[in-house]
Amino acid sequence: MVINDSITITARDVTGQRRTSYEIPRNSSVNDLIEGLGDRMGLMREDSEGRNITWYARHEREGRALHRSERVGEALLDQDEIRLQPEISAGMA
Amino acid sequence: MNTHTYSLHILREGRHPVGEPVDLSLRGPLQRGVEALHWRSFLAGNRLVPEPVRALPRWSPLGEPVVDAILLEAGDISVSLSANRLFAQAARRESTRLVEAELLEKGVSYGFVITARPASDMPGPPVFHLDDYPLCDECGESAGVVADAGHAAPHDFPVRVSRVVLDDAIRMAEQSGDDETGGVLFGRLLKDSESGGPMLVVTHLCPAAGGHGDGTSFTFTPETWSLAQDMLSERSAGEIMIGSYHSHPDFCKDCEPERQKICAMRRPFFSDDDVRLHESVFPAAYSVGLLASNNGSGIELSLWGWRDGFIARRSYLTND
Repeated sequence: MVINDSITITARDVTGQRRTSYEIPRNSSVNDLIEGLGDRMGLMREDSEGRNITWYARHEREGRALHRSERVGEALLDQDEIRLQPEISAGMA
Repeated sequence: MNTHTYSLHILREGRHPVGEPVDLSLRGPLQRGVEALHWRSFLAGNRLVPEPVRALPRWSPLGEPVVDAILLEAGDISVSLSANRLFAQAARRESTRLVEAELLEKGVSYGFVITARPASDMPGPPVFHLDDYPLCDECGESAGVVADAGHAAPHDFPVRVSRVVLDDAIRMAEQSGDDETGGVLFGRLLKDSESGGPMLVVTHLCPAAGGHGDGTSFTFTPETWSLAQDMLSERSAGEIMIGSYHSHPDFCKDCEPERQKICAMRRPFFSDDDVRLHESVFPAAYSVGLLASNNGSGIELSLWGWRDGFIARRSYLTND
């Protein structure tokens, strides 16, 4: 049996309306995955004051948040879906 | 394809440059522009705009390399985004930095210009797949009481906000007192039975569980989005997430009465943070933001939405 070195996942935005297909090596970290998707999907990196916006990945099949240190090949299966979610503030600034 | 890099130059009175030019990120502007193109195409009865999308500088009357606007074109559809409006936030940030660095005196008026220069291998617009706008087959009625009619614009599509949502928004703002509160709006994109075009119906306000607020901000966490997604599934009403809700407490309550009368903080406003939230989470052209502002004598509701790539206050319909 041949095991591919990479898997393809589907990433959606918070609302679920935008998606992209993304191939990533199994030995990459979830952090690598989020960073790569950030470039691909045009995710905002900074808030209005220039502070970093942190994005998280939710594993749709398991209904849990992925840790940035997890390995893609251990946490996800080929064709899995994740949803990208920011921690972000509204307010007077 | 984007063919230029853009820079911000802060100018002192008399148009003398202060500090060094600042490179600007086009990530947000390109996303806004592409979305505005898609929406224009959709309103014209077409599918999404064809690739590729071209982003070009439009030169100011001052001449090249000063930029007046960024033009986005796809096929025969184009949208023009004012450079001054796009980068006003970046200019405010940079001027603050220059004041802190004692290169610009506090309180001194300043201006700014945006310049562009050709570049190769620039990143293009974001790559994602949008099947199409999630338009339901169902028709909606766009007749009714118009709220905030003074903020209507000719090409705005109708938005109806359920009375229950408005009441919940006021109740949540009152209960949160001096702290901000927030939520996620659910709704559906329907066909306007009158015009045949799209109309948005805001059906539910989901409190932002897992979020936290203080006197000047409200933070939406990943837990907020996950719980809202769970709630959406549980309701099984064919809704989608269509925007955000948050409140502004009375920022001016401790100020002198004379100042309170004229203070802009007592009027509804969408802050830079609020715009960035929508840019990050609700970039779709149909998305809206509901704001509950405590103006000292009560809670004032206002609705905000995208208009050709920028957030603007807009009118909306209610049931009563």
